[in-house]
Amino acid sequence: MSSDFVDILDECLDRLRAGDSIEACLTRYPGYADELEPLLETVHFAQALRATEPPRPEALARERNLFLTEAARLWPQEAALPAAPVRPVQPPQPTLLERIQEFFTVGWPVPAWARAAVVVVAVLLVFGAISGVAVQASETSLPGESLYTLKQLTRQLQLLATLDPVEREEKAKQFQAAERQEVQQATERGRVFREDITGVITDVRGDTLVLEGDLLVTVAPSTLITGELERGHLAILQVRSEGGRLIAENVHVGAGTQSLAALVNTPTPTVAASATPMPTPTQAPTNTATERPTRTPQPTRRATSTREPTKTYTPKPTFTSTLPPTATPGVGFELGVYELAGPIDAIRSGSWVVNGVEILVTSNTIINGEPAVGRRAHVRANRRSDGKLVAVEISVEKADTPEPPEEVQLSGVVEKREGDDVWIIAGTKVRVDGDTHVDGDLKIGAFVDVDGVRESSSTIRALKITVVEVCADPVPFQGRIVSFGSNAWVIEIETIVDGETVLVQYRILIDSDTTIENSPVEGADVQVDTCRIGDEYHARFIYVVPTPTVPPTSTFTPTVPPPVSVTPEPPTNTPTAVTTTPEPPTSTPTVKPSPTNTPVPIPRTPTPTPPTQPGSNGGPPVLVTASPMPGA
Amino acid sequence: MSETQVRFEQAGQYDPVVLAEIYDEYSVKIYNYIYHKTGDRSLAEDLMADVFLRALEAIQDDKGWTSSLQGWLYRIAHNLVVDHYRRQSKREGPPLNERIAATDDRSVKIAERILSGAKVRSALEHLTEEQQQVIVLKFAEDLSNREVAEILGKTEGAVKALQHRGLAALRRVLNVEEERQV
Repeated sequence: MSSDFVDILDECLDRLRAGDSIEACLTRYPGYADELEPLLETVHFAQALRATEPPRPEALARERNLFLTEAARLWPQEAALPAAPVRPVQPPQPTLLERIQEFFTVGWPVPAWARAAVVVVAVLLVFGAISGVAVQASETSLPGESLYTLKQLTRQLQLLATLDPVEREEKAKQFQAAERQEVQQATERGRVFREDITGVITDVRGDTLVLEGDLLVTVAPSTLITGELERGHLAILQVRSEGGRLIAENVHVGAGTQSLAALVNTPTPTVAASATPMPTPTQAPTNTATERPTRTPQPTRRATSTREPTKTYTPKPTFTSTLPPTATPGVGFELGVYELAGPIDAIRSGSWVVNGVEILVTSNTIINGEPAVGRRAHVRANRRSDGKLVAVEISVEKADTPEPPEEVQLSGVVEKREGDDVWIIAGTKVRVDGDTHVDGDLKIGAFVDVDGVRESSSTIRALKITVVEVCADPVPFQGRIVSFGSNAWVIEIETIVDGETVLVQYRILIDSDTTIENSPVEGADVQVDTCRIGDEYHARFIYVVPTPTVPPTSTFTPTVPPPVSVTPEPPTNTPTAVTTTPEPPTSTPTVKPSPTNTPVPIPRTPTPTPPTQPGSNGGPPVLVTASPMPGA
Repeated sequence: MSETQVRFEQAGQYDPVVLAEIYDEYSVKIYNYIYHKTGDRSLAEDLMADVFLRALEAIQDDKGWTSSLQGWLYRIAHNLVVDHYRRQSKREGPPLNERIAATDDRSVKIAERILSGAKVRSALEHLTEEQQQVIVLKFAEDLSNREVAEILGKTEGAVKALQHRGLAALRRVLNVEEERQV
């Protein structure tokens, strides 16, 4: 097979895909036209596979719910479980309101480009230049849909652009009501989202809050609550949908029915700070494991907030830290994350020195590993406007930890076996030992998936081997035995080459995996299932059609396979007696008399792909007699 | 950190929004792929669900995708289809044509297309596993050589070679079957 041809075929396929015709491609490559044409025509057949019955919507929805329910089951710690008593806990993560305030005070914790985009959109909005298709299209969007972010952004900007306080108050109420309604609709439709909503608490029923008379929100054990859940108070909630209901992640209850607009207009710090005294900050982490703050899932949840102007998978936790407990009021953060790595020079109360740089460590800092002076640490930090670095996350490397072995996954054909424990799979040495879990019948020719670890540059130690297919490249034969030995047989099959019927001989290998039914006899008809590995055909199952020695009965019953009985073949691994002087093919097809009319009872599905042309299916037969054989 | 890594990390920390996004983005693609290999809507729906449940378990075990999420999901789907047929081969099921004949609530046009697809699927069974994969992924799923290479863990050159051999083998099988019908 010419690699040029493979590339030309691929190019023609690309052109067909782009709308070109088969004829155009044949004209472009006239020298390859005969080979290209049937292959390009076959693409049309292959494309019949595209016909699809779409999945039933109810099935898609059902499986989606199953998927998300299963996810919640697999991560029970992270998924909220309802029905526990409400408990006031730590201050909440910043709410939408706080973020808006931060945006206009110390800076919203989003990348600079996003802030710039907000400003641009605001300007366009104010001047009426963004009343186009996108905004219009977003008007009917719901939480969990991509355009909802734009819808929310538009509302926020409208609110901020309204100068009259009375009008702003009215607008804010309208927006809040609309948001609650949209959140409810999206939940009922099974959308998955996370949103901030605002409303007055009208009832508290067990673990359920009722907002504005009709919106039910479940309070879970993991819900962070500040303030007292009392009727008539304004609450700002961060909620997420789950299984057709709303779960509160954060609830902040204000002291009265202040509106969002009013709060936005308030220049003082966040409502969180004004409503409930901040709990006393915990001691900065020390060397002891028990006092070290542990990672909580909240930063990730915050990272996926759908309020941001543009959805991004950049991990936000590093940007969304509130001011550390040690921060001076009024000291903000500059945008950006600073990273540094090096040895820990000192561990003090409230700060560490890493690679000569002092890093503030707060109760919000996530610390991974066992910190100790001298160990190497990787620090991600925010820089405060006073220039100090505040660690967001510190990962401490283990001392003298050997490199974990590199995990390797490999898929391919088992090519051969070397010794007791080494197999060559897809050209790679794979060691199989007592700890290797082998799923299936591992043998030469099989297609396998290997999970393992690298032992050396050339060897993998297999942890698990899954046999995907017992034979990656099965090739069936139907023909006549020319000769047979303990290691190999020669089979002659009838095939057509350039329109002429010829007889071709193939050498098939016999090994311990070969099952032979009935004793071989030269000249007997035979059916063989082989597994091709490279240019070799490894026999897996051979059925020798018994030559009747007595008048045949009307029905044929296969006998129980006798033990393999073969005549030793001269020990040679090279093809025997290749006939190199082909006679000119006769114009009439060679008629090969069948030695028996007995139907062939091979117990498998029909295999219409005997090798019709030597080498056409990837490799030449080992032994070829190109001349037509005289009829026997 | 690449977007792939970030997404994997978010999924691994149970972010239901990210998990839902993954499902919404790939469920129909994976369903189509399985349907193209099996021709059975109910089976494709069931196996598609299994693909995502397997994916969840792998993510939780920190054994999710490392490069291409799409390629990883296709691989899971492929393995499940192979497993299904391996189990199926141990017990006789109704022939494909009977299954199709039993469903009388579809339009004739769809039935014809399905039959045509069924014929090609039947022919594909005579190709090697990798040849089948390349034919389905390239001509039914319309993936690029690079995407197919990612799924199979091969080079683009190997995919082109498999494409050539697969088309040649498919052509031979279809010719043989046509001759039989004649």
